Amino acid sequence: MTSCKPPQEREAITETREISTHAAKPHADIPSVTRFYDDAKEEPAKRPSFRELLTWTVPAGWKESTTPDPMGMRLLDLRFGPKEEGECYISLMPGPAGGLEANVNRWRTQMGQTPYTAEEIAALPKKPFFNRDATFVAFDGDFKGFGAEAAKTGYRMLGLIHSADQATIFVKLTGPKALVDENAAAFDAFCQSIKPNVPKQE
Amino acid sequence: MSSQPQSIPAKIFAFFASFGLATSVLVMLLVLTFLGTLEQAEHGLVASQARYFESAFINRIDVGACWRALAFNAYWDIGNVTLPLYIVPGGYTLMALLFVNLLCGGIVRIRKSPKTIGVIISHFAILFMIAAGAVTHHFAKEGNMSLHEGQTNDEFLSFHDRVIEIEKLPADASAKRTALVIDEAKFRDVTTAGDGRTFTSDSLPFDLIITGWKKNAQPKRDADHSRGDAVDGYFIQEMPMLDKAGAAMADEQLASACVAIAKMKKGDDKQTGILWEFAAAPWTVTVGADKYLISLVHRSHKLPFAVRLDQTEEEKHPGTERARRFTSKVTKLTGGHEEKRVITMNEPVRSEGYAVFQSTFSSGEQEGTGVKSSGFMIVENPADHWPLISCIIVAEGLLLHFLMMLARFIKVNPWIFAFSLIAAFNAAFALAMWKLL
Repeated sequence: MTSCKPPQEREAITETREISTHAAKPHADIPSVTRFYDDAKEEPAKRPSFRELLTWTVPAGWKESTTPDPMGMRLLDLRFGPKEEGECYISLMPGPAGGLEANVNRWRTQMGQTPYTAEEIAALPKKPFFNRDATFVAFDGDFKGFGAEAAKTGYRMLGLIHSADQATIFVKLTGPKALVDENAAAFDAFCQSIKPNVPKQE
Repeated sequence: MSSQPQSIPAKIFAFFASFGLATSVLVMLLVLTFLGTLEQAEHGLVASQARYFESAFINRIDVGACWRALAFNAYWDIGNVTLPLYIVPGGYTLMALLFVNLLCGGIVRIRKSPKTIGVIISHFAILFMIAAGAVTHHFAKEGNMSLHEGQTNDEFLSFHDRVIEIEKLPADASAKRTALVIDEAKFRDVTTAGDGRTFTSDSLPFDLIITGWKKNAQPKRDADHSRGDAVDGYFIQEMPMLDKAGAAMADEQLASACVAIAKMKKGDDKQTGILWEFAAAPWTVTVGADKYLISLVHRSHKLPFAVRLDQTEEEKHPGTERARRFTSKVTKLTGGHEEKRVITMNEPVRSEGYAVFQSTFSSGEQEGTGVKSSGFMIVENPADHWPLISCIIVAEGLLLHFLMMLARFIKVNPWIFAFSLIAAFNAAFALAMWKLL
């Protein structure tokens, strides 16, 4: 309750007015929630988090990064290797996200490679992912990720892109070539472990 | 030749009739106009008008706001700097001084001769214009009335004046309704929650204490019950008076709020509620079987007639969504008499001292009602046409003066020359107006 000092000033109300017969009929006892339009505000529908939508198994020796990525695009961000120089993350974009060709060639550019032609992209191998075929890429080169000042030499990139009209999901792994080769099987297993989180029927 | 010393009344008259006073007042009006225009960017039109043009004295200048309005902050940001003032006259005082100066110097002291008759007429017209400003300032009422098609009303709401109204809910729904009215000027200084002002009336079983008034605010839910000033689960959140672009919001967009405490005259019982200008319904105070509705609203003004909106139309530019014209077909109801009138943009209906202008139109689609409505600006100004009349007289006076000067220069009879040409000008003007209207 509002605290109020004993009022020091008193003033008589001297003005009155006759209310028009055309005025709206008065309503009494309207609660504050209605008076302040608070009951009209619907609670925004809770948007399920990514972790509620999917399940996955983190390969042995891998662990989640404790530092948030600067772009805020990574839904799950994993590290592996003795110095945690290996990275693997999942990202999700609405719609086709520019299309397969643009995304594959963006990754090619990050690895210092020339872009693929449409035919080369169409010839890329597929791997099962989410009960569908996803495009698999593996590039060697000097990796220069977004915002990096210098390229990391002797790197390898593995990637899986599943593009649909509604959304595009990316699984991307980068690291020193030898380390990535050691973890190639773990990457495949990790990709296969990503599944929709279907609620159990009671 | 020895000159006799002036008496004190003569000295006073000489001061008020002097060119020096006229020049000083005009320069100060120029400065006020400049500063008021600059401050308007952050403080809004109504606040700037009140501070610079309607006040007897100016209590401060917001140097920071003026600085930013001139975009000097791009070079050097001086922050919020305010210059307190105490005896600097405001627009009201300066216009009063100008009136006295013009009356003494331009009417009384001026040499009366055929050569100055045009100037005297013009001075008189300027006095008339200043008087029109004073009458408008003190007696004009402006407000808004919104009507849906088929709706009738005989009240309009002031744009800027707010009041608290207390209405006892009548037991008989058909009974005459009245409300006690407290003007905002009587409580807008109780801005801190600790201070309050008590309003009393013999017709009320309680005293009403108003506290914590805010110019622009919104009730917010006290979701975590952490607010000590919460009332019925809500507290008053003060809101900024600048929009996202940093410009002052229009006064009509601001929603004031305050806390009201109904302290029973018998016993120590108290009921507390939040009054908010944009609230959907009044706050109810229950005393026994009686209910009192208390609301913070814009002041209502009664019209001497009622207006029913019969039909409203929006005309668009061909092939576009741009509105070309809004037109309202209304019925003016006076007693049992009905009169059909049409109000459209720039063509108001004038009746019984009131002018009703078409100001807004709504198709009802945005509100989801589908019922079309019109917003009318209503002006009651006893001096409505005075500025136009004074401008015409000023023009006639100056025309007479210059034509007589010209006649003397070309050595013709100045009276015949001037008046015949003025008559010709007026005839041409009247013909043009007749064709236009």
